[in-house]
Amino acid sequence: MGADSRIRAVGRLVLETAQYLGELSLFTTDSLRRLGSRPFYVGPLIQQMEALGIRSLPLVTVAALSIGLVMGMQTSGILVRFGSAHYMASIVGLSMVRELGPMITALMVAGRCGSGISAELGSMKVTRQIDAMRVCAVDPMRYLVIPRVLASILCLPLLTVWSDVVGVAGGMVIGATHLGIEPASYIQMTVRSVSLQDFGAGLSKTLVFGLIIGAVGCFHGFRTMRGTAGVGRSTTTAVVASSLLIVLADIFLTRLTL
Amino acid sequence: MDSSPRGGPWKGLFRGRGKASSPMIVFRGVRKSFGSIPVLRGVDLEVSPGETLTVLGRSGTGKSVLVSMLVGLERPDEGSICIGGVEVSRFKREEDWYPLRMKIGFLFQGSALYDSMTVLENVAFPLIHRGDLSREDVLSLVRRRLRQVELDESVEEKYPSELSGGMQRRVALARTLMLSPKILIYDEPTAGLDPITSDGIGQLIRHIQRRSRATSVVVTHDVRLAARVSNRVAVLEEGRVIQVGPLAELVRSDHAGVRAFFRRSGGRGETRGPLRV
Repeated sequence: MGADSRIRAVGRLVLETAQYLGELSLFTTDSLRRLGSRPFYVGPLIQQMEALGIRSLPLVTVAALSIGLVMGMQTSGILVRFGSAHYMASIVGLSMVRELGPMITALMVAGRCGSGISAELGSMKVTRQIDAMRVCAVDPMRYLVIPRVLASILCLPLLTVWSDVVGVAGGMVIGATHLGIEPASYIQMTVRSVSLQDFGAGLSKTLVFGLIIGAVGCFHGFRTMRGTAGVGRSTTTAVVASSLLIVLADIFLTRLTL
Repeated sequence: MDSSPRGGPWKGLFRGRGKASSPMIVFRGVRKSFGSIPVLRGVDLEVSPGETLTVLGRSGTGKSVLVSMLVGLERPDEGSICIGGVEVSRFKREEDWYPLRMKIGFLFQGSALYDSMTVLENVAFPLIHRGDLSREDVLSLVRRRLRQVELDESVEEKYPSELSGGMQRRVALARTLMLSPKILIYDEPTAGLDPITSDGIGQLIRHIQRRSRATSVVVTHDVRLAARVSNRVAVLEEGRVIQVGPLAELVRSDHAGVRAFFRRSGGRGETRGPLRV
């Protein structure tokens, strides 16, 4: 491959990425613009909140507990070496609340629900169910997209709070078993180290992560073409794109909230 | 419920205030391409109020694209489409279509039932705008439509995947009829069904036409269905209407394209048995 064709390939990739981000931004703006006007479908919103929130709880619990346990094991070993074992609760607490809780919750929900949203809407698109909705004078953006995006924005902070609690509990188990720290004093140390500002910084990120998961899932679902193979492609792309956007957005959001 | 189109150009359109003799649907020089592939190459067609016109043609001749334009699912590249004297091809926004869509029933090829909803929820879906109806009213309206398509209450709580193809088509038809449309569009209503079920759907469509007196457009390649339901038939070939008239005249047509279509249809068994016109 010559230098000329390599530059052309890079140029094409840049253009395609810019076009993708532009179309995604327009789609997201279009859906958010409809939030302020009627009709607003409450039933689908509640259904989506159940699907995104309640049904994601087991997965988020297992993931957060694992991360809390691993964090506890890693930090306890290092801190003992430096004679600073009493910092363990602070380190695990701050890491969970500021970074790991929001991130792990968002990635889990993106994998579980982002793919589900994209597959469901993609399948509706290729079987013309979305067209059938339009023919009934129902705006699919209002009926299908807004409830999913809104549910995602509303549920992610709640799931993150739960994830923080479970993660801290994981760290507490290691503190008690490896370092002999009493659970009550572990909780006391965590509460003393984690400020409301830390908690808010983590939670504010989740609003953006929620928007990314909902909007990207719906966007790829609505763009699905070419039958069931297309549904598979959309689902994969939705998960990859939302995970990547969450990680990239985290860089900017962390910079903003530091 | 006042389900008539709300204000604007739609005011009174479907209440018999328009000229009785003027056509309900008019296509003039309609062209449509997908990328570099032309699908419609200048379609001229009229449908009179209360008439049932069948658009016959082989697969890929643009029949479904043509009727999709009547509800704004596709837009023509050139030409005009008028419904009830209003040029709908000028509509720019999706919202412009809403009042009209509440007056048009569209039966999709493959039914397009919402697979996450039960039969009851599917049939009731067009009533989503009617917040004033109680659950009992909705149930009664749904049951009336289900009876009209010869289905009973036992299917209400079933999901589309639990129904046969013929039953799915009947449920879709019930949903199409939910708002008592003045224009009915059937896109390949018998596609994928066995001959006996197809005959049943054909009978049902004919029965609905007689009772509702709605202006209807049926798209199909099934000549037997066309014979059963049509007042007139338009044969579409390579994106153009090559002949329009009663089916009895068309089967005796001298037009080479029309003759070729009927010969091919018979040869491929699409007439499903002897054709009686």
